[in-house]
Amino acid sequence: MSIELIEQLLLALWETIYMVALSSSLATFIGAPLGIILFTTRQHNILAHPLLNKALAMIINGLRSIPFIILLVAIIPLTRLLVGTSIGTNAAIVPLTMGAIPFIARIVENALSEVSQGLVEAGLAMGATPLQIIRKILLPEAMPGIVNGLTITIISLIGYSAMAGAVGGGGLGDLAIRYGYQRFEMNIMLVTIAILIILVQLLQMLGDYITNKVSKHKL
Amino acid sequence: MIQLLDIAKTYPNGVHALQHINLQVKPGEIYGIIGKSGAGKSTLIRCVNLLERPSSGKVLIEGEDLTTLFASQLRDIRRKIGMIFQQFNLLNSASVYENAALPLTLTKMPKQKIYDTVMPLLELTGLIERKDHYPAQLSGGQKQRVAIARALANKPKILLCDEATSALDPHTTASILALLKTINRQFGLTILLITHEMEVVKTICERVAVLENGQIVEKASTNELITQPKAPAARELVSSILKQHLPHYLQQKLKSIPTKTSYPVWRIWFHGKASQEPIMAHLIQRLGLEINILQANLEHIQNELIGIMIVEAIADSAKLAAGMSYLTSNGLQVEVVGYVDRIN
Repeated sequence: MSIELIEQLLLALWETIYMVALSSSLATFIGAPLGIILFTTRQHNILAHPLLNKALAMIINGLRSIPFIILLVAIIPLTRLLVGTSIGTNAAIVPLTMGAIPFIARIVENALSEVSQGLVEAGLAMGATPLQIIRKILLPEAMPGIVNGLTITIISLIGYSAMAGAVGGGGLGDLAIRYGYQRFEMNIMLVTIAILIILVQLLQMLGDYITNKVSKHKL
Repeated sequence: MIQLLDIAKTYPNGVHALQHINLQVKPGEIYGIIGKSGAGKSTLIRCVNLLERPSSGKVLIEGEDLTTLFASQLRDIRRKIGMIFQQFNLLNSASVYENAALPLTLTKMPKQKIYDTVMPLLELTGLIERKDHYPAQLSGGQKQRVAIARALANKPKILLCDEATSALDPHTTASILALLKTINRQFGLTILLITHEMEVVKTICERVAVLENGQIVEKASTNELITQPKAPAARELVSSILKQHLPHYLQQKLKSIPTKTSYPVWRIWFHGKASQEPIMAHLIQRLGLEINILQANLEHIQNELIGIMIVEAIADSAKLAAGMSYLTSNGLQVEVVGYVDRIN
């Protein structure tokens, strides 16, 4: 393999990590609060607001039902508005983030709903405000589930990032398609696949490690 | 201390969970509410700190009506009302110390002051050595002790116990009840508890209300309830700790009408006061009755001897009448259960 190719691979790896890291951080930043709102505005919950809950759930379900490759193209105007261009790695981050937000929102909502209602009741009984119940009770208790879910989301984002090649986003998936598929260079295809497998394994291991760290009750 | 005035709770689906609840708990007392599952106990105790908002009626804590308060005022009052639960409701992600300190960390108290408050409570509940353990590493009794320490962290005046011992074995139940009694004495804490176990009421409650189908059917001191239960639901509960019925084979021998060869079977209720007297000796030696004890069930409840004795009284009718009046004049309650034939 030529030095040039190795450089290409390293660049592609960096692009993948850059896209996935940035989009998953942004998506968590937006999706997690949405998940908290989704859970706490449920009926009989601490911030019960059935109307807001229904509206939000509808938007999130709507976003989730759009296939990623279509989302990628459909939100080009938004992408242009946000990053000034619709092609390149930065441009790919917008659809990746948009695609991950509803996932993360649902994952957080789900993890929170696993927390025993009795704990919320105990919090209310000791005079905690809704915000304190979220910060001191719900989030710490749901943390293992949230970290677990985030790991799954980040790994799916690696898969999605391959499609980002369609908008010139670069990354490993893009490299594999251009060289491996379009130019029949099998060895490059195989190398990218190997790198992706290692990357996913490492991420999963890291995710499991953090999950274990935060689930002290399973000692 | 706690006053419930004509509390009713009706759910949107039309179920009347509570109706006409009037209750008054005095400062420093341990008050029990007993009833079967589904009687509305949980709803009732949740009305006291408004975890459950009553449909009508007033909840007065030290004279203040909670139902009229704003959310922030209500939170301030709730800080002064500790609560423990059947399922403990501890944070799995927090250590014993962090769990007990939780109510204080919500109040922005300095760390050192929290430490100075929580450590004596862990000492009191016997958890010092386990302060860095997590709930998953504790037994049920230890978990409830953590919950008690947590409930006391804000130095409350009232403690609400929601079936606090129902998930525990009898031995652990006894130790938790002893702890509750200790903190009741030590801090002058008013305790309102709900339970379905007469044993719990018998052990620590001074007064008790019997709840059935969302209504209070009887209110009495524990002694009164056990010796003279009036409502059917109360009788049923009391019979769970005092065996008042004869075993089957003796019951078959009982006749409802006396014959020339039969003698009466008496059920004698001990109410505490007369229990120090040598009643039986007097019956036998002074009045010349032959007493055959068929069954006796005497218990010490709140320092008084209470219970039932079922005896066969063998004597002629004059002596029987004298015996009967001797017992009643000593404050015992005697009831003729039936007659047994002496000729076997």
